[in-house]
Amino acid sequence: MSASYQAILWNRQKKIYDTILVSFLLLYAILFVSVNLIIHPEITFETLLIRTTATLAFLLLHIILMIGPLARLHPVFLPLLYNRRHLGVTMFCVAAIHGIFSIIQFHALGNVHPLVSLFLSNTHYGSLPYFPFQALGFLALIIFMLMAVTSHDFWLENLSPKVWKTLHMGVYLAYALVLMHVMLGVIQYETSPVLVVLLGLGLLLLLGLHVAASRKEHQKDQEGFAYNPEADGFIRVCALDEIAENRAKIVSLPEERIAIFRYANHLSAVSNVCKHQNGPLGEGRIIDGCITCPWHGYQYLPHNGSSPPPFKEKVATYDVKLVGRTVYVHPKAYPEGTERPPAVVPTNTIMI
Amino acid sequence: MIKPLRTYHFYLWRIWVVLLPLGFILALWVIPRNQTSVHPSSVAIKGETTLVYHAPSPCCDFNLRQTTGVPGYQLELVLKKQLKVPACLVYLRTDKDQLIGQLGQVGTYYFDLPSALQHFDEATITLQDPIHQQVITTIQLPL
Ligand code: HEM
Ligand code: FES
Repeated sequence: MSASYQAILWNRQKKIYDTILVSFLLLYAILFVSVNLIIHPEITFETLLIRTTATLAFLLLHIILMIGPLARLHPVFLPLLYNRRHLGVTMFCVAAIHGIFSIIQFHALGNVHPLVSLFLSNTHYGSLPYFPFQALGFLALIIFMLMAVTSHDFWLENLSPKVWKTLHMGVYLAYALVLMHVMLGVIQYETSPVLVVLLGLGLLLLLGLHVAASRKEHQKDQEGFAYNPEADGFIRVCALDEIAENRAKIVSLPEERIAIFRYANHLSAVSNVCKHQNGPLGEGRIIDGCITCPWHGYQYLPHNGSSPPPFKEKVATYDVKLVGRTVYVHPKAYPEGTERPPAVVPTNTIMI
Repeated sequence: MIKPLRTYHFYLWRIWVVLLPLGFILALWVIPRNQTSVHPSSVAIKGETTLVYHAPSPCCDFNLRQTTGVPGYQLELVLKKQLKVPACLVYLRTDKDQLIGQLGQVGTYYFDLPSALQHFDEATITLQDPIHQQVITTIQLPL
């Protein structure tokens, strides 16, 4: 969260995250190279480089794709999400080394342009076992490149979170392209079953996690249709005691989700969608009097949905009322940043 | 996440759950059985072999081997010089053309040739540049 743009706003968490990331990259490279030199002592440096970066990039891609659903399924994985963009850019850089060296190795020594060679050196587009698998890797690399160059908050702001998120969902297509790049490439002539078994397990894990997480979210959205508004338009949400202090209850309405926060004897409702990358505000907490997004820590004041100055982000607000010990919310959204009086929780109401 | 993107996720992963395993299984299904390896770093010849035929050429050497007790032949192709063409496909030509693999960097490549080869009077191995549609070299197998 920043009022102006800088290349990277370093903080302690990001430094720890990146230190772990770099250590992992080095450890993986050392292990992979050592094992390969033992198994294939005759392997060339170029092949070793192409294979180390290829497998490392694909492993990083699996980790990146697992973080989203894991964080949706259990909040313990939220810290992994915090700096996922650094992971993504790193993955792109590693994949780019693999792609560029493959192009140099397999296409730069001929008498046509390497990129022409990449697409035309093998024209068996109609055959599966001899399919020009490198073209699939190239297309995936282009998607990763678009994602890496637009990963900064500058682009998020200028493209709008919706367009940005949609663009970044291209990663699922890129994953499918890389999977087939490997399956129609090296798997067609690799005699060892290790890679294919690992690929199969990775695929099962990713499919399982994504289907479980998207089903959970879809079920929550369906709940919204069960709410019946009262005569004054308010919707019954829950008993007051169901909302812990400095936490929220999320209500799914047919249009969008609302987060109702309880803090300092007050109740306020805001849109559940963070302005940064659409993170779920209702899964965050009130810290220093501000709603704090669980994904990257953007903050909003609960009574008006505005970020504290000098920040300018604003989310929609809603009316809340407390009748006895029951919390109600009105589904009509006020324009982003509109101040709404919080419902007051009587001090004699005992929290359980 | 906003609701349209959640819905997009929900349907996309339902499609992926069918398509990706299908692609995975299909790719395993089509692996050519007569091609042991086209990667120079893998050693394919196993067991006692006898060299049946040796044909040198400027760019590569062709060695035809037979493994004792195993029907069919094994072709060892030693690529000595980096090819000037960016792509090189290897065809076995009998009564029809059969693509058996491709060559890349300098090194030794192995291809298992089908045992049915003995039934033909004539068979050739052709290295072809698919971009310029030209034959790089051809050798006649002594059957
Ligand atoms: C310009 C783009 C790309 C080109 C030209 C390319 C080329 C290649 C080639 C020639 C191989 C076979 C290497 C070998 O036989 O050892 C390969 C394998 C592989 N590639 Fe790519 N690739 C590209 C992009 C990517 C991307 C973006 C990824 C994933 C992030 C990727 C992941 C892999 C993996 C996992 C393998 C198998 C590694 C192995 O040999 O064990 N590739 N690629
Ligand atoms: S802070 Fe990034 S999504 Fe909320």
